[in-house]
Amino acid sequence: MSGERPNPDEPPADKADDADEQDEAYSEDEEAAVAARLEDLGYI
Amino acid sequence: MASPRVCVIGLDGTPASYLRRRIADGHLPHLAELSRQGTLMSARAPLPPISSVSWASASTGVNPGRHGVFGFVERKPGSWDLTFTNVFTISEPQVWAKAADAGMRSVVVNIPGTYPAQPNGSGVLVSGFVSPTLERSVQPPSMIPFLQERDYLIDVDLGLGHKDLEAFCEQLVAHHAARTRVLVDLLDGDPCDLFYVAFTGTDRLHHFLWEQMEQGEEPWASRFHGYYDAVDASVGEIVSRLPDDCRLILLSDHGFCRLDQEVFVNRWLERDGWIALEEPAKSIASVIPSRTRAYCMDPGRLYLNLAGREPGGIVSPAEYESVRDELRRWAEALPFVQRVATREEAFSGPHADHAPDLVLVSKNGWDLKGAVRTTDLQGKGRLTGMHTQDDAFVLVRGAHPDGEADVQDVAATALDGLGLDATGVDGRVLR
Repeated sequence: MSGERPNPDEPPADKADDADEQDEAYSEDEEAAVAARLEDLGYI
Repeated sequence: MASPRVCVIGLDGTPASYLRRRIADGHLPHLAELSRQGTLMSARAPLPPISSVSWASASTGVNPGRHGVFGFVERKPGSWDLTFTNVFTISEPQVWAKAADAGMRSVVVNIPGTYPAQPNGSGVLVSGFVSPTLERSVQPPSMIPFLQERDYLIDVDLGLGHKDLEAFCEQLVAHHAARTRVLVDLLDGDPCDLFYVAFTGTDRLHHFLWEQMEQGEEPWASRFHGYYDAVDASVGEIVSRLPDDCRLILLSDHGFCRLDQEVFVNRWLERDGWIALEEPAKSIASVIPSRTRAYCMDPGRLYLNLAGREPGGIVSPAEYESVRDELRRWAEALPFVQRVATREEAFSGPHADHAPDLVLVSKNGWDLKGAVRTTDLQGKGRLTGMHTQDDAFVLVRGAHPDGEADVQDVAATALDGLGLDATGVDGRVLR
């Protein structure tokens, strides 16, 4: 197991690299639809 | 070469104990026959036990510390705004990607967390939950008419479950029939090496009808069991098309039990002075960072408000261990908590540092929520079933392994069945 405390200075490098791609996965309209579905199952 | 070489069929959220009970009572003939051909193993899901996390493990063979998915929602780096996890969040190759690299063809249908659909070599991929549109859920896109002709729906209208249970059940059945039609026609079509699919209507059924089933409340108990009869028939239809030497793997990604209370963990944190929220709070973005030491993301992921990581974080890195210990003791004393895992205990790998600082595992019946829209500590709505980490299942035809399975064993066993290297993943090959 990792056993390391988090590095507070920055997110893990590849997470930061992926952040834009992740944000682009859903359009604004799609985000609203996703939020509604997750809410229907009690996830948000 | 017979097609497919490996077939994985997921029944989302189906408990091993439910299958055993129904089989013992003389129901589910196809699943009963398979349970005679291989051990119906109890299985454990990764933490937290929700589909986005668990299916990522079942398809990559690794724990969340390696694949990087810890929930359906995450806080955007450097912000309190939320973002939704998706296929780009999964940072380890899924079984079908490894198969494509080896020149094999896969058919992948309805696996949660695979939106937007990515090209799948010469094969087919239809994304599962949470896929808002069919248009970006299908690779190659030329398959969309094939799906539309069969009335394929990505998911049922979950809102119906809150408003009209009868209509919800009708749609579940129709939706299941359409999914089965698509799967059977895909199997009857071009040969493939890997057929990796999931039925997710089971999870929806459980969320809205678990308690009614358990209490024998009609007509819902009969609807519940009747739906499983349809699932069993679909499994039979698929299995009848498989060659005898196909490695057949069935699984559920987590277990299920009755939901007695939804627990709004952020309100418990608020009660005891860990978090402050601007009201009316809509999401964790309503947090007041200067008065918050810890917060919860669904379902039961606890994070410290760490300086340098969270915007306006007030827990200094030097205080991290002591504040986390204090938070752990606080959580362990809550009436609904079964146990608390630190990130080091629950996860390993390059994304472990992105993991929650603590993960709460609730007692059965207490469904942990990150929502802040209500100011109540707990309550109960229309949902009557909740996920469990244990009581998932894995069944490999012809295999009788010892002990309990882990959901991540599914990918290892599938890779092995394809003749690919399964040594680099966390899961074990179930033989």
